[in-house]
Amino acid sequence: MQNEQALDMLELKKQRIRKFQQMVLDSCLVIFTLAMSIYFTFASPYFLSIKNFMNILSSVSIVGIIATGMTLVMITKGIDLSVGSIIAVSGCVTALMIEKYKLPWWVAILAALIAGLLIGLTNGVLITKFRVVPFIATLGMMNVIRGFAFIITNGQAIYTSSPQVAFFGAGKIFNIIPIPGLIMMVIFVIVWFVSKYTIFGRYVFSIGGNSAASRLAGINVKKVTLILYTLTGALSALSGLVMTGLAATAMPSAGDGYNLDVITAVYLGGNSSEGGEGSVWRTLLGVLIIGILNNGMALLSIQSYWQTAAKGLLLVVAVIFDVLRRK
Amino acid sequence: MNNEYILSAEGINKSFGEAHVLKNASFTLKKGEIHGLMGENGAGKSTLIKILSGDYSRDSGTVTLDGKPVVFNSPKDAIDLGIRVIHQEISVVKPLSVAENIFLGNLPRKSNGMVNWDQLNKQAKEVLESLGEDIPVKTKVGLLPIAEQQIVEIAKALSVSPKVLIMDEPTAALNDQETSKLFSLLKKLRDKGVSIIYITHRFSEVYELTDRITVMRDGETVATLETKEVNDDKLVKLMVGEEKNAVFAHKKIQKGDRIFSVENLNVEGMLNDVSFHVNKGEIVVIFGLFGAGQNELCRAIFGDIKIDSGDIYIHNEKVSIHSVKDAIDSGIGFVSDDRKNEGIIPLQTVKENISLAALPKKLMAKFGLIKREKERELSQKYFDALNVNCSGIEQKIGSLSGGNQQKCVISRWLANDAKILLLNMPTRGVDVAARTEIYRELEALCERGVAVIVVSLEMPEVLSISDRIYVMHEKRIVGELSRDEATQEKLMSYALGIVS
Repeated sequence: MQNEQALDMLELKKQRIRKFQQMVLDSCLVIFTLAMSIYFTFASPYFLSIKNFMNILSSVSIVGIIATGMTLVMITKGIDLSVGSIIAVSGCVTALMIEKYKLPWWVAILAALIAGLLIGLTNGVLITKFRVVPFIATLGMMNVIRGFAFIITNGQAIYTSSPQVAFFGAGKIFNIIPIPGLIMMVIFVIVWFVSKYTIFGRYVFSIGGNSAASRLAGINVKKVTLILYTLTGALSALSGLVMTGLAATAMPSAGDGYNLDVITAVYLGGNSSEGGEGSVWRTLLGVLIIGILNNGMALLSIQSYWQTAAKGLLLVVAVIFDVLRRK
Repeated sequence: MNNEYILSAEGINKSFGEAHVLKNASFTLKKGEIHGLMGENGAGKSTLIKILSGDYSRDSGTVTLDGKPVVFNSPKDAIDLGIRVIHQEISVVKPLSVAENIFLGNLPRKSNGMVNWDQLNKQAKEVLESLGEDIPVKTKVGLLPIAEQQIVEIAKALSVSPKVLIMDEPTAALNDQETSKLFSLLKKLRDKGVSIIYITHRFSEVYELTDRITVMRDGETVATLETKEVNDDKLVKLMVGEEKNAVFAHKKIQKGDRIFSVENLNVEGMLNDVSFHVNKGEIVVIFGLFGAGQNELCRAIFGDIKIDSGDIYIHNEKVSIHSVKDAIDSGIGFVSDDRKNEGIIPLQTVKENISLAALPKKLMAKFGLIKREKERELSQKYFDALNVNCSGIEQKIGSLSGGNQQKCVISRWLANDAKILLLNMPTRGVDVAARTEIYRELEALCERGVAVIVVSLEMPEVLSISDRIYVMHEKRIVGELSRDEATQEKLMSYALGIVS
């Protein structure tokens, strides 16, 4: 009994130390972000301004919107590689329906979102019903729907002049707040709320923490998993609309490589690589780090190849931090 | 030393942390004999075997092989000296051929380093022929029936001409015909001079096959006897020993009506016509050797294994259970024996672990929100009631000791007002103080009218906490005893299947 108590106290102490370490590591991330920002502020006269910040917000929104769903997927130890292809399908469906079939804008947008949702649902069915591991299931779907995007557009980019679609990507409130940034922030708040205050959110963490125990506690693990992939599919379609609006063009090659940017953002914010814990706010931090880095380097006219390399390096460093924290 | 022994072990001690699992154990194996090794679960058989085969190192004691003292630092050392073990689970590499399996890690090569297939297949054929077997050597092992896979494994062990062959319950997966075939093979090997240690729970096999028997109990070697000198009675007495003291004083509770029953439950290959019931005010214990079907019984009732036929009644009302959710909705709770993998969610707090099952029924507000204040109260209530020992309900459960984790997992079902509670080895890995608290809580539940069903392998525990005991043997219930009639000998006789 005495021993037990002593052991438990020791564990508690360890837990506190871990908490402290986590705080230090987290502050490292924030300090790194600030240091990077300060550097860019001195290096470029354009960096530190509300307008530029809004630019950053707008440019990260495509990755950010998807990253909210991806965070939940990754908390359950899953992954979704098809998100970049869904961006393309969503844009192409919208532009085709408006420009080629002359359907009303809202029908087109609705169709794009439903397409994303259905692709996500298919991912979920493959994973839960057919027990394909998420990596393979979504890798397959990534190529299937990328091919589909090329097929329906015959490989051509489609210009769209729809003002409503443009609003999604380039619209501004009060002439300053970018609509995509706003959409992203609203989604972050909603997903955070759901993950923290609803039973569904609790289930997501439980499944990631111990799927077998969750099943034996009566949680419908498959249903929750299915919903998460469907949600991520729909969010990817929304990002596709933003991208199409921003460029006024839908391209079948759009969003290529974005799956990795999204996954990078989730890890970069310090989310666990082993599931069961994590937060969308960490993901937001990761998204912003990528955004600031890209923006600052662009302002300094550094070749974009360097941005790619820097992102990769950051990812590896972030995961090393995660491993250190776990030790 | 006496050179009639090929292998002998003297004064072997082994501890894991606090647990002293082998106490001065000794064992001798004669040249060319089949030696049965017996004892109830946890008697130390497996540990002794693992020490003799280099899997574990011993804390003290000597092992002598062929008259020379030996020290094994790894299983490879033991193999090199001619000791081979065939484990209960068949460990063949299914995608590889019979011949490759037999010479795995030791494939004959040509001078250019490539495998010499002709020689490999020829040698494999020779080994199998020496066993009187005619299995095609190029077949993939995964395509063979279990019995033949086992022969491949024996052939693999024999490919290096071992002096000692150790077999751990090899007949568990075999039918009668396959078993007798295995026996004649083993006898043939014995006649060729191979010495065999044979672990089993089946008395009939011991009588038929072995020359001598060693019985272990509580980490000690109790006796080594000539097989022709023993009988059922004697063996059971040796296995269970003196009646042990009760570990818990269980008070009698007023008995009432039948509150739970299972009738003629069948699950193909797992459960055979199982029926039992629980009356109000009694703790029912399911006893049996490990793997007799207790785990499957719990899971079938809890909807985690599909039932082929049979009925489940709660308060004399038939319930139909097709999923875990159905079971939980009917008021059943299940505490798995594998706390780490199927019980706790280590990264979550004690509070979240306790409330998990009760969320949909008791803690859901509008829009699927969690009633957070109520969740805190509910968790705190059971946290206090079961005297969980930690800083509070916000501590992560992964950092608690086994006993405290178990209290939380039990609380998970209490928080959901379970009427039927199935506990599979609830005190496994739990310290003595926490055990008593868990027993006391089970008693309190019982008093409140909850049907408490405990699966246990430990006889002192069975005899302390039970009001009634069902004994399982090979997928069926073979005996029912009240606590007053039950003795360790009776329990063991039923569990071993020598009375029914």
